[in-house]
Amino acid sequence: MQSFRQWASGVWSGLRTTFIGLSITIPYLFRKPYTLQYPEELPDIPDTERGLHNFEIDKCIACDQCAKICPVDCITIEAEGKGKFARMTKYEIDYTKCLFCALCTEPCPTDCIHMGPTYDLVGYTREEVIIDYADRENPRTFSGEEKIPYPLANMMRK
Amino acid sequence: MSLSLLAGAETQAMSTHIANFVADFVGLEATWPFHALSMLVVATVVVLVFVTPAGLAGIYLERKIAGRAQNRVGPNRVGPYGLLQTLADGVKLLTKEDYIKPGTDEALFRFAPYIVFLSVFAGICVMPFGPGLTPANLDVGLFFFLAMIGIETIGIVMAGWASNNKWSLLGSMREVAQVISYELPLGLSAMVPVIAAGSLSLVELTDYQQGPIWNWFIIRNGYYAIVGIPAFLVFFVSGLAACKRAPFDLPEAESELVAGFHTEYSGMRFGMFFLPEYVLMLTVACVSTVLFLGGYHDPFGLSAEGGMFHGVLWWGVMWFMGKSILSWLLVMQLRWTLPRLRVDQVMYLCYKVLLPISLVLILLVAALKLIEGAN
Repeated sequence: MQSFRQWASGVWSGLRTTFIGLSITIPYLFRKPYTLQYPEELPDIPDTERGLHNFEIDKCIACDQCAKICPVDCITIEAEGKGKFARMTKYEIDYTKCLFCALCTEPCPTDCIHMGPTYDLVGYTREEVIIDYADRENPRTFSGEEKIPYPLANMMRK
Repeated sequence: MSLSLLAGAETQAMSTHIANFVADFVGLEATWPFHALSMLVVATVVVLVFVTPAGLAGIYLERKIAGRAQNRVGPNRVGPYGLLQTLADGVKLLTKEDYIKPGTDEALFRFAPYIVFLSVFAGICVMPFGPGLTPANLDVGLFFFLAMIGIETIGIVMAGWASNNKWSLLGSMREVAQVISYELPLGLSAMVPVIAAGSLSLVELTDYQQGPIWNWFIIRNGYYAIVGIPAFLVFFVSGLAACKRAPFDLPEAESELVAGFHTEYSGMRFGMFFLPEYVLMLTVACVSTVLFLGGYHDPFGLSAEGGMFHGVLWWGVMWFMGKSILSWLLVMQLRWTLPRLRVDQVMYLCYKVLLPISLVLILLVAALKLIEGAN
């Protein structure tokens, strides 16, 4: 009789715990999923996000301060002329090296380089992620609202 | 032809009609080969029209539920709401390389998926999907279904043995041990409504439960609930084990056995294991609907004899599929609820819990039947 009682209580607890388990998992069917439908939906980016640089070429005086402070030497600047007549020919950031430390934004005397909110830069080759901000034929800016260098994402967002 | 199908004509009558038509056409007497062939055609068409889409939908539903149970979304890219995902996967499986690794027993390896596929689809042939819509109305339909579950095991053993892979072999051995054990409580708990109805034919079992909801076997006349509800639970649990679903998915336990018996299969040969798995799940859900939940009869008694919807095909199919899909969803939800059992726990549950309970239930239902007969 003792062993029968043990058996019966085992059967009952198996049944009971199954229903407890179901009562936990079934509500999940009616819960909103956490998945973010990237690239149609974008995650919330904090204001202090250190993404791709937001570079204002009109303010830049090609003083080379940012390139000097960069710990990984990922910024290459070339300019023609001196002082007021300086004209940028190349402002290249190598994103294969950049570690997004934001040190380059600090010494800038004209406050022309900021860290932007864009984070999704992809390319098929290494050259595709070396971005020349001074390229006047194909200007690239990453202030968040403009074009994103990811063709699929652009397509989906339309 | 399709019109008479919609109007609820008997599949039997339809196959006779086809046999006569074909015999007329070729100018011969409508002898048994014609009848056999036309029955085959009707059964195939019904199974293809009902079961294959249901199996595909089941895979989609499973993935959706798996997603939602984990706070994911599930497939939503291919087609509206991801509905075409299963088709896309089917295309992927069809175009994959049919690889047979060296060292396999090639004949068995090639033949095994067909046995699994055929036995599972043969098993669902006896299901009464609606009034008059039974692909093969056998007098021993329930017995046939149980036999087909047994035959499916042979295909799985063949696959595991022929793969020349120890994980596959272990998986298929587990499958055999499990299915052979669980056939006992499955068959015995199915005997409970059979004793009450006095027939093994799934159509007669369904019609035995016609009328309002208290005529369904699970709570028949109130007092049958003492055998109906436990028998339903025993049948459901053994059914889970028979179609090797979680928490009884030991034969394909991913964390221990890679994928069990179908580790070495790729492409459409893998698909031939995968689709039957879902169809078998649907079959078990259908049989539990037929045995305990009134089959194609609705809970209001409208489809009973003399009712408003008596013999109306779409009404019956709607209720049958609705009830089956509900228990199918429960099977899927259980997968994301319960952890996998150990082998010894599986055997304990079968031989020490389900088997004694189903034997006691058989005694009880026989006593109830006797008392009912005496009054």
